Amino acid sequence: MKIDEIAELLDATIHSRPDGSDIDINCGGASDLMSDVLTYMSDLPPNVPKRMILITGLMNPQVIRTSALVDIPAVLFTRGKVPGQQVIDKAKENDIAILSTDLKTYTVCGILYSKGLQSINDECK
Amino acid sequence: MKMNSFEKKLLKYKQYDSLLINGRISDFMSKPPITLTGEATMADAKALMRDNKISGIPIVDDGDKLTGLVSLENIIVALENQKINDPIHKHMVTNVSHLMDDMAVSAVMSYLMTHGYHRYPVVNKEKKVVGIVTRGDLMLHLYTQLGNIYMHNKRRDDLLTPVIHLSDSDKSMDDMSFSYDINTRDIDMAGKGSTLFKKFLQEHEVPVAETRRASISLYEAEVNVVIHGGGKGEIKGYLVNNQIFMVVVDHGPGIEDIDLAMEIGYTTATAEARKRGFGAGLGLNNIKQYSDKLIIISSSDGVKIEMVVIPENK
Repeated sequence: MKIDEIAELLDATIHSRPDGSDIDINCGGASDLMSDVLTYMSDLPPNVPKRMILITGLMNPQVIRTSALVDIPAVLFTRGKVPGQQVIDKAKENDIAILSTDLKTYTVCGILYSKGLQSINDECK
Repeated sequence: MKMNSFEKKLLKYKQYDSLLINGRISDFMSKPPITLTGEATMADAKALMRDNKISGIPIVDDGDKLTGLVSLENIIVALENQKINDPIHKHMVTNVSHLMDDMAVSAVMSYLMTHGYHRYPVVNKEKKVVGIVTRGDLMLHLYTQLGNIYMHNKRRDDLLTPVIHLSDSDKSMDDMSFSYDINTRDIDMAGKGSTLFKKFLQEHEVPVAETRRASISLYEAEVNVVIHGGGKGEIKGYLVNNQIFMVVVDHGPGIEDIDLAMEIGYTTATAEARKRGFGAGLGLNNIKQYSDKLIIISSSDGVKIEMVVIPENK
């Protein structure tokens, strides 16, 4: 699923679309806890999650830093949180696509899951 | 109820006493032991000592039973007399001072006090060598029991990959080193050092799996400095023989109870830190999970965290 398709499904705004972010996203994960995101990477091969979108209600530069650290290529902010310039700059610097939507995290997960986006797994590379 | 000073002292001694009574030598000895048989040459022993940075090797027979010990001193003498290609049994020390694997810590203490050696083989009832104890091992064990040091060594038990010990001279020997000063109390800024370190690892072509494990470990440690350690600290990283060494030091108040801090979900983080997606009590555990060796030393002057990431054997 392309970033544009995701944006359309969720009525989301795209804030950062770096070169190379025209990738096919094939899985997603939702968390507001960055340490938890890092924890669940332990069960995955090191080249995963190259095609994941991180869905979070948390808005701060640490979300981008965490994503960059484990090579997550796309982040979606939920519940109407609009990223500030600092977050956008950091995302561009790290080649991470950024989207935001007014929908709640649960709704977002439901829609993407029903459209075939898997929960994060070994295949997400 | 008020205690007088004598009672207080007694209570303190009792506390220390329990440190010595609790625990067996098998809790802290190095295992599996590195051994050789008497038929191997002194040159073999020399190579093994060099590769593993050890100063003595227990010598065993075919049944792993202790027959002697070869020390650095024996090697030097053999070198001087050009006997380095002789079999070990000609030059080893027989009648070796050793410890039993069911000895209590207190017994080990008194044994070490009356014997002047640095290194002792540990044998079981069948006289088979099952481990090695040095004075340093005992000291480390006692510190651990006192609660201001935490040690986790995932690899030591299941692999014989030697962890290289760094000395100060090693650190200045090459350009494979990284350093970064942490100086912020702003949680939004935490993680800059780890991001740079990740780049450093990528530039040095460290494989992606090790890069990830190292940067996650360092990131958690760096965030801890900002959240708990007063925001001032240093990061040092070294690459030696493909092993990644990281040291994070802060000058904060220290961790009061390291064992408690290691528990998943335990946190002393502020509401502000939690709002930023941290302080869930997962940080130290993530470090433990992603690094192969972790040492945390805490005092009222601050915390020092040493982490080592070792590549998987391919």
